[in-house]
Amino acid sequence: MRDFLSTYFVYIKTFFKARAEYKTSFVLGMLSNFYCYFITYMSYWVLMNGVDTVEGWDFSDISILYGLSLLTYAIAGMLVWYSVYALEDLIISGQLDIMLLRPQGLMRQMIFQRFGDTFLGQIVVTVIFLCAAFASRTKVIGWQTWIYFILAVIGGVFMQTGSMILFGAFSFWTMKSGALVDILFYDLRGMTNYPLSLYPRAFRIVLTFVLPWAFINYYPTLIITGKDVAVYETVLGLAAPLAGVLWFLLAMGVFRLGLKRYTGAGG
Amino acid sequence: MDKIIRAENLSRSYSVAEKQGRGHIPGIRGHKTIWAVKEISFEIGEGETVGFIGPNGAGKSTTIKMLAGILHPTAGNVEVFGRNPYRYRKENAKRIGVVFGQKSQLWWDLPVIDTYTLLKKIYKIPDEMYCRNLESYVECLQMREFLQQPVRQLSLGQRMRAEFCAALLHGPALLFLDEPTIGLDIVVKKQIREMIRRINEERKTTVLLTTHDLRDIEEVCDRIILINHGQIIVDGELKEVRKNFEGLHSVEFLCRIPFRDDIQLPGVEKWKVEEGSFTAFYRNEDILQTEIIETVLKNYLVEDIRIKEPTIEEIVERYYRE
Repeated sequence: MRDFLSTYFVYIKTFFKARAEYKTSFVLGMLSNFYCYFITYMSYWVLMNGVDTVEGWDFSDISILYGLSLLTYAIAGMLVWYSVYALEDLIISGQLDIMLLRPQGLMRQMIFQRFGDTFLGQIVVTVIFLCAAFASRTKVIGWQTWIYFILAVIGGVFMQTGSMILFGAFSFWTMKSGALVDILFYDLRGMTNYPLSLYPRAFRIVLTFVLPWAFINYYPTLIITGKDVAVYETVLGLAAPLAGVLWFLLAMGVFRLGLKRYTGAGG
Repeated sequence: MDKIIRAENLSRSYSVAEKQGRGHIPGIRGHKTIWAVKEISFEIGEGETVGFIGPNGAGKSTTIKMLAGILHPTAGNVEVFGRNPYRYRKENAKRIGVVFGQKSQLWWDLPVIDTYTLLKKIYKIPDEMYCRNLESYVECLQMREFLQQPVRQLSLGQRMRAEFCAALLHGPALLFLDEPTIGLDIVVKKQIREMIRRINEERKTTVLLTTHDLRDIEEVCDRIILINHGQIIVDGELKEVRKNFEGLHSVEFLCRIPFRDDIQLPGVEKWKVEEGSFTAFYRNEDILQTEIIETVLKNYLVEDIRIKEPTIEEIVERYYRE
């Protein structure tokens, strides 16, 4: 782990040095991300301004709900988004072979290779809105909840990273999996930016047990804001960090299977 | 001598989809198995320099990939450093250096030296070893002037030298070179060949080189393995191969007078007549070169003489065609 961090640090330093060659593009990328997500937050604020609550959720609750999803997505994106979605190009250009010829794990090298700098803009917006949301809450938040919050973020990062790896790994079997990923990951996950209680039961089940995006933000938010009324909500909420780790392990398994196929050892 | 590489009946097949002929339901495709490498066996000892040659699609790259552990063999055995290269890919990678003429491992936007810093981290090269190696390669490949330049600004010759240095920084015991001189000018080619020779002599580095420039082989390798259609056709010392498979020597005479086919020399296998010149082909053991020249000069007013030794190129060409 120490070795991983120290190498990652050298890579990030080098990455920013290279990025400095294109300062304008770097700044613009960051700004456009910031702007885009700032506007999204504001649209929630406008929506919520007209009504006090939606199904008992006020703006600060929604901010936490959306913030958890976005924060974990951005951190995961910083780690793997660029490399994982470029897997197809890495295969075609033969760059993947070069990585396989080095004495480090492939996933490690993919993390090293491209630091997702553009996601920094998202992180800044999210942190601002999360702070505002926590500050505006009248009820005091206990230390247990803070610890849970941190665990939920870690679990969420695992689940988001896992999802990116899982969908990226499709490139080992079939090129051009973009459209499928858009629907399964982006569109369906987008649904969890609203309280799940708004949706029919079937959707809730899918988002919990099939494509478990609800563990990223919905169940954790229930716990944090004290909305876990039913027992199952408390249980799923507390299990969320674990679910993230399990999903990540599953994704890594699929990735390894894909790599095996690539190297001709199976499938 | 220790064996670095040991391959035994090594094979790799691919399944290729093929459309079926008439009478079949459209859309249903059959599969055909194609053998890229078929039951090849060879051993390479420590410090050997082996030229691995063959036409495009002969199975060279497939073999190298299996030796490097990034491709699993379909059948047969392979050992590199005494262990299964596929299972011990990462461990073996520490002792292997690779240069691809067509791929780069340098960071495009950054000065050359920054890629080396990253490689130092990736390979966990100790400071002292890193400095010593870097210093010696920079010197040998004359890289000092462009070490601080971004890779995207380098010429191909400079870039390839930088690639070599990158592949050698961790002091590999085994070097795979996949067409490393492709597209380079004579001067850079020479520099790179010298470099390969030098590290082979100084460090006993084992070299496996694929190339289409047979000059590379002649100047660098002691042994050649020639493969075609996934099978080894020739494997032996370069000198031996040349001796055993020697083609015809030839002497070309530039002469304005047309050749009249009147020279009787039993050792000459054939005459080739062209406009303004004629050539005698012969074998060394059959007739002396001087004898041919002397006879021709007696009969013709010759302007110039060109003597040609058979090259490895001719030998290889013959095998490629078969």
